Amino acid sequence: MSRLTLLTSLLFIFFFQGVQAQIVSEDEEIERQLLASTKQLNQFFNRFNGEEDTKGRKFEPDDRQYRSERIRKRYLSILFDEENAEFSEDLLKTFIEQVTDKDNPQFLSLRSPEWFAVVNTTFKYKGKEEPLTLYMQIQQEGLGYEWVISDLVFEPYNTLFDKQRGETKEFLHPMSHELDFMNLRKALVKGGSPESYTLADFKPDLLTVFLYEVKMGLLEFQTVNRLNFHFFSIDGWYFQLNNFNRPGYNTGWLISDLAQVNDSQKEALLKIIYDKK
Amino acid sequence: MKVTPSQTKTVLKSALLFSLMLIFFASCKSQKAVLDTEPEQPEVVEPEPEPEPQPEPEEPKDVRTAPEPTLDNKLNNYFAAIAGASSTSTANSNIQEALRLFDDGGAPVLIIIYAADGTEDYDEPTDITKYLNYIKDTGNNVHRVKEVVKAPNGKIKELVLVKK
Amino acid sequence: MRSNILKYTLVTLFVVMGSVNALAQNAVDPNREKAIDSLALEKVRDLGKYIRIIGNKETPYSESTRVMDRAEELFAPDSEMGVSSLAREEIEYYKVREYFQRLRALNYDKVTIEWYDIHYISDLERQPDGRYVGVVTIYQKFEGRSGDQLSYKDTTKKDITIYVEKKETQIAGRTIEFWDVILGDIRVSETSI
Repeated sequence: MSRLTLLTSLLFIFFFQGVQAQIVSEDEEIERQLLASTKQLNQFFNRFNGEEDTKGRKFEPDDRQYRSERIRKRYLSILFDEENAEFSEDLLKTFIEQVTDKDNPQFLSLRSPEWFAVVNTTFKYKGKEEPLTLYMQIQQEGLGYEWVISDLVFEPYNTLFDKQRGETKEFLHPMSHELDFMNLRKALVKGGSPESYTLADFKPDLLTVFLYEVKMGLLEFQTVNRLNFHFFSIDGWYFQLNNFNRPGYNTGWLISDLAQVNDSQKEALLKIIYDKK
Repeated sequence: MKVTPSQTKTVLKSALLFSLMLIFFASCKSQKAVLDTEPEQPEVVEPEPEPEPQPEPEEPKDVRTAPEPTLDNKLNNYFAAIAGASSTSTANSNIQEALRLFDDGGAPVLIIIYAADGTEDYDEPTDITKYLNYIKDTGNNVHRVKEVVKAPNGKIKELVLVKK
Repeated sequence: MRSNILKYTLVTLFVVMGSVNALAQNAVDPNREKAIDSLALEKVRDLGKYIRIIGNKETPYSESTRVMDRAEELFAPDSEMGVSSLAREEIEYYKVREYFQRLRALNYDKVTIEWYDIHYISDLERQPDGRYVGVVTIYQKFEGRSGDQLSYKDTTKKDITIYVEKKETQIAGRTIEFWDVILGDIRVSETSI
């Protein structure tokens, strides 16, 4: 059965009563669209897992429909962006088959491993508004869970600690010790390149720099602009979730990007997402 | 494209639920209408200090007196009247009347939201003045009286409600 | 219905361990969780009603101030509304009270605020301090009219934080365990529907 047929059949079930009524007011039409929309990430998980009905009511675990393969397949076919996504229908089919496999079905939750959020924010830095990307993860803490910042990308930091190597770099000459390192006075100056005087494998911890600047009031949070989620939770797969705010039935949190990845592809992809060289 | 029996069941269930809701709202509305038309009638107003299960003594001078409603019913009627009041002033006068049944405007009100296995789960406790104003503001008449605790003067000192 | 000053002594104890058991019981008794869900939804609906009263141009000033107080009592301290529109993607932040005041001051002759009959209640997740947190999503239709003209109309999605905590209080010498359900930050985003 093609995706379209699946979608149609689901919509039919969603709106069975409405179809019977024939006449549909504008409000009713809007409510149908809102009902179909994947309104929260929580709903994405519940639909992905087949844990709720079409009205968003949760099935009891002893319900025959709870996590049933049939329900999951139907839901999975509508959890994809159908307007812009570039992955093939075959790839989608393979994915759905794998996660609903009878012997090894796979589910998602807040506690799944290897997924994270990328949050595009704006901070005020040195009098200017600057974009800053935060990478966020869920972790267990205390009696429950929390979201934490795992990494960030901030353009002004990108070259801040770029250190020259070799003949052209600044250095403390190898006899400095004989002068009680009195040349440190010329090395460590405002606006200089103190990173030059570090170990060859020095790697700045930009998160610490970020935290320091926030504490000092040098970086001021302004706003969140948008966010998306990246999942490596399903073995051998990568997908990305984005929020589609548009009219129609294919809206809300949907998979916008899907790829089969092996370990090295996964590493490469992570580097791209985290903007690492 | 097919609809499985279980889906049909769900649809039927929703239809049933919908019709039940219609009936419910319709009856609420008519109750509302009745209560709205009689704010000036004093019969639900005056508190009687007797313990409630006993029949109220006849007051010979008032020929109109129907059998006095129990305290529970009185309160439930006030809730309905306040929730469905046509104006703020009608609601306010109903609140004032209802408050006269109480020992104090700060009398605690407990609302049971769930009960099972002998334990009861409550919403955050409130007091009667706040509760009656809450009904007025939200139009929510979703609780009924479960238990009334009276002070020695016969007035209510604590009220326990339960979700209808 | 959050009451801060009650005549009787309200000794509120945070029963963290109690709440562990409480929602652990939910696993066995999903009906209890449903009751809590519906309590949460009720608080959200109450908020909706308060918002309508505050927004309604016919509500007297004193009355809307009183209702603002009640509405504010539904929220945890420092709760904020984060608002964005289709034209302005970045979020603007308002304190809840400030949001209500802006709503009351809107320059229309007539304001209509309605909620669509669609909502979504998330699972309740436990946070490090032991409290539970969930999100209720609702959709609101707003119409502002000046004279007979419709001057502004939008549909917004409201994602409302709900905190759930089991607490204890003494009433007339006996211990009452209750579910404290309070609202937190609200994300308001305009939809393109």
